[in-house]
Amino acid sequence: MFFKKKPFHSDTWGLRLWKFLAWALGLTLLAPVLVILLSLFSSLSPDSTEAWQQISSFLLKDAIKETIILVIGSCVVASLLGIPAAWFIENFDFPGKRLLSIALVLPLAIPPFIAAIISSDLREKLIPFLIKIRREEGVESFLWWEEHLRYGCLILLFGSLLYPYVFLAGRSAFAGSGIIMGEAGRMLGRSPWRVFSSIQLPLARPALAAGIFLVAMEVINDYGAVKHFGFNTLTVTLFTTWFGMDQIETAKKLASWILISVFFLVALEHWHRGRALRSLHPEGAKSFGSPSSIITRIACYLSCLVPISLGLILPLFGLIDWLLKSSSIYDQIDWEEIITASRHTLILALSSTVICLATALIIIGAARFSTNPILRVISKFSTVAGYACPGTVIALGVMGFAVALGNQFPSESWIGRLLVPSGFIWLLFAIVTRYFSIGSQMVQQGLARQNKSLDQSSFSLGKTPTKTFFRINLPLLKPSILGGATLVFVDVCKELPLCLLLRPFDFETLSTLTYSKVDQGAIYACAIPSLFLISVSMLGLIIVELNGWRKLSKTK
Amino acid sequence: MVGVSFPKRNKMMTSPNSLAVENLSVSYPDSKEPALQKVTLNVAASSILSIVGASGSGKSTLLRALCGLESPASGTIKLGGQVLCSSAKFVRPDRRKIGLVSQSGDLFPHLNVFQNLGYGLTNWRRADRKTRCKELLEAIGLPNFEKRFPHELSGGEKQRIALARALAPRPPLLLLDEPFSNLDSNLRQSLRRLTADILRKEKTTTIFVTHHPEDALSTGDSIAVMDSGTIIQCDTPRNLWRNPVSPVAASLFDQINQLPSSNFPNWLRANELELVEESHGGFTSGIIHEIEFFGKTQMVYVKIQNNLTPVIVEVASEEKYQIGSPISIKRKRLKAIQSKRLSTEHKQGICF
Repeated sequence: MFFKKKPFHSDTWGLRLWKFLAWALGLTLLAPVLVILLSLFSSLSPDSTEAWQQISSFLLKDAIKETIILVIGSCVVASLLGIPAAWFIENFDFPGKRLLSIALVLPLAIPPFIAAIISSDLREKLIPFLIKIRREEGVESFLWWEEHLRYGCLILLFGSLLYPYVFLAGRSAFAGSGIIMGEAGRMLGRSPWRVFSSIQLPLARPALAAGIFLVAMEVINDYGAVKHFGFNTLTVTLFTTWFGMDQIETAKKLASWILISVFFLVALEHWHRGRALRSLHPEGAKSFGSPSSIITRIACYLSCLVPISLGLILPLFGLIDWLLKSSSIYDQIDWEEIITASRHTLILALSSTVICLATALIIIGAARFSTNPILRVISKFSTVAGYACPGTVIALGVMGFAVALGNQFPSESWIGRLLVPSGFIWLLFAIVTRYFSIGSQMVQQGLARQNKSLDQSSFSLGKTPTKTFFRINLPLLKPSILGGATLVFVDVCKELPLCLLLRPFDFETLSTLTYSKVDQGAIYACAIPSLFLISVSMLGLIIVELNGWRKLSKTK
Repeated sequence: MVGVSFPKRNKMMTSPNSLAVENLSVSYPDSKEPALQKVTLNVAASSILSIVGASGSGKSTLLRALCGLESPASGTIKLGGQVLCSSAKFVRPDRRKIGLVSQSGDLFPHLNVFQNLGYGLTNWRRADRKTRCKELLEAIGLPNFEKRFPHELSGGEKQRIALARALAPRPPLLLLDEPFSNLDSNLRQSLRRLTADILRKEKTTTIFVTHHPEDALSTGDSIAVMDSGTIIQCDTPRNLWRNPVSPVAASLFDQINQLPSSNFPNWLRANELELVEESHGGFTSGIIHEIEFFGKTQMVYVKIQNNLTPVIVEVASEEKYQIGSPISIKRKRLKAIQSKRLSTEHKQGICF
C-alpha cells in the first residue's frame, strides 16, 4: 500500500486548526478527571493516611450504604412514576395531553434542596406519629421508624423531582420503533398491556437505562437535600473531609474511588445499552388513538396526574404557602442581595452556556470530519465524563488542576493572579466540565441525525469541510443548539455544590443564597430567591418542550 | 454511440472530460477482502457508463473512490488528463469538481430550490447564477420552483432538483448513485428518459450506478458489470445482452437457468426455452412445480429429477399449463448462445 491512509480533507489549514482546538479543549475538559484518577496512585502524607483510616473505618461504610439505598430507592420511584406516564402519553390521544406532557417535565426546574426545605412543613406532620411510637414502643422502635421515614421521604422527593429523566427517555423510546413494533404486536392479537410488557418495554429498556442512570447520578451528586435530611452520603463525606477535616489529599483519594465506582456504573449502562439505541427510528411515530375503555382513560390521566401532583403541584403549593408566610418579613428582605445574586447567576449561567455549546460544536464537529480514533475517543469521553462525575469530585479535580497550573507561574504576574484557585474562572471551568456533556449530547444527537451524504453532496459541489459545517450542518443544528443551551442554562442556575465549593469570596448565586439563608435558619427569607430560581428554570424547560413539539408536528 | 475496442491497457485516454482509472484498489480496515481489486476503466468524454452488479460488488466504493471520499490503496485516476489520485497525488473531494447524485438526493433542507441549485456556483456572478438555475429548472420541467423548500417537493421532484444541482457547476464528470431507486416504476421510467436527455444535451461524462437492468440498458452508452470488487465485463448494452461473459453477468439482466455442466452452453435465459409435450422430445423433462403470472408472460417452474433448483421457462400468458403435469423442455433457437468467456486479460481494461 503506497497511499497514505489519511482522512481525505486533512490538508485544509482551517480543519487542522479546528482539530487542534478540539484536541486542546477535549484534553482540558478531561484534565480535572485525570487529576483525580492520578491521585489514586499518589502516596498520602502520614497526616492524611490517618485521616483516610478514620474515614474508611468510621464514615465510609455508612456513606456507601446510605448512597446505595438512596440511589436504588430513587431510581425505583422515578421509574414507577416516569415509565407509565411516558407510555400513556406516547400511545394514546386524550384531551389535555400536550399540556400534561409539558407539565410532566417541569419538576426538573425545582432543585431538590429547595424541595427538601419546602417539605419541612409536611414532615413536621409526622412528628406526632413518631412521638406516639416512642411513647408506646420505646426508643429503638422510634429510631427505626425515624430513620426509615427519613429514607422514605427523601426517596419519594428525589423520585418525584427526577422522574422526568426517565419520562423523557421513555417517551423518545416509545415514540420510536416502540410504536411501530407495538402495532405489529397488536395485529398479532396481543392486548395493549401484553404489547407493552413483551415488546415495547424490552425495546425501550436501553433508553430507560440511560434515563435511570441520570437519576442515579443526580442523587449521588446531591448535597443540599441529603444534608437537610441528615444523611451522610459519599458527596457529604467528601465535603466533610475537605472542609470539616481540611484534608484535601484524603478527599482526593476518596473522590478517586467514587469516580471509579461511577465509571463502573457508566460502563454498565453503556454495556446494557449496546447497539440497541441506535436502531430506534423516531420517524413514522403514531399513537393507538383515543383510549377505548373508561379504565384506560382513567389510567391515562392517573399516570400523568400522580407524578405531576408529587413533583410539581405539591412543591409549588409549598412554595406559595412559604411566600404567604414570609409576607410579614417583606420589608426586611435585602432586595439588593437578591438582585446581585440574580445577576451573578445570570452571568455564570450565560457564560457557561455559551462556552459549553461553542466547545461542543468544536469537538463534535471535528470528530465528524476526522477519522482519527483518538479524537473520537476524546470526544466521546468528554461528552460523558463531566456528567458522570459528582460535582464535588469535579471541584476537587479543578482545584488540583488549578494548583498544578498556578505553580507554573509566579503569583504576582497577571496570569498567576488570573489562575488563583478561588477565582471565578475556575468556577466557570468546573461548571463547563460538569455540564458540557448535556449541551454536547444534544449537539451530537442533532449532528447524528444529519446524514453524512449531505456533507458529501456539499464536498462534491466544491465546499471544504469547514464551509460545509458553517453552511449546512450549523444551520440545521439550530434546534439542537437551542435545546442544549436551555438545558445547560437551567442546570447551571440550579447548581449548588460546585458554587459552594469554588465561588470567589462574596459571590452569591440564587442557589447559594437560598442555601446560606436556610443554613442561617432564615427559612422564610429564601422564598423569593427560590421563586426566582424555579421561575427561570421553568421558563427554560417550557421553551425546550414547545420547541420539541413544534419539531414533532413539523415531521408529522 | 461509441464503438467497442480493446486498446492496449497502458494507454490512458486524455481527451477533455474523459475518465481513466487504472489498477484502482480500495481496502477497508475491518474487511479481509479488498472492496475494489485493480479496477481499470475508461469512460469516453460525454458518454454515459452504466455500472451494474449485485449488492456488495463494489459499485458504491468505486464511486466514492472516484469522488475522493475513499483513499485508494493503489491505482491512478485521471480526469481529462488531470491526475486526481496517484501514488504521489491526492486531490481533495471539494477540488475534484465531480458531481454526485445519491439515492436520496440529499437536498439541503434549510435552503430553497434556488439556493440549493446555486450552492455549488460560488464564484459565479449573480446574474449568471440566476440564468443557469432558470435554464436547469426549465430543462428538468420544474420552472417556478425556485422558492420551494425540499419538504414541499415530491420524491421525483427532489431527485430532479438534485440532478440539476449536481449539473449546475458543469462538472466534467457526474456520478449517479442509484438515483431512481426510491421511486415507483412509472416515475422511474419517465425520469430516466429525462435524465438521459439532459445529460446528452449538457454533454456530461456520466457514471450511472444502478441495480435495475432496464435503467442500465436504456441509459448507458456502455455497461460495466462488477462482481467481487472487479469489473468482469464492459461492453455496449447490445453486446452485453447478446454475449454475457458469465452466468453472473447474464443473471443481472434476466432470469437464467444454470444447466448441468455436460450441456453447452451451461446456462440459458428463461425466454430461450420452450415447453413441449413429452412425446415431442426436448433436452430434458420434468414436472410443473409452480406458475407465476406476470400479465404479458408467465414463468413456469419445472422440477427436474436430481436437480434441486427448478428450470424456469418464460411462456406466453395465453398458454395453459397444469401444476403437477409432466412436461419436456426444448431450446427455442437452434443457434447456441455464445457463452464463450472472455480471456482473463480482457476482463478488465476495456475502453470505449
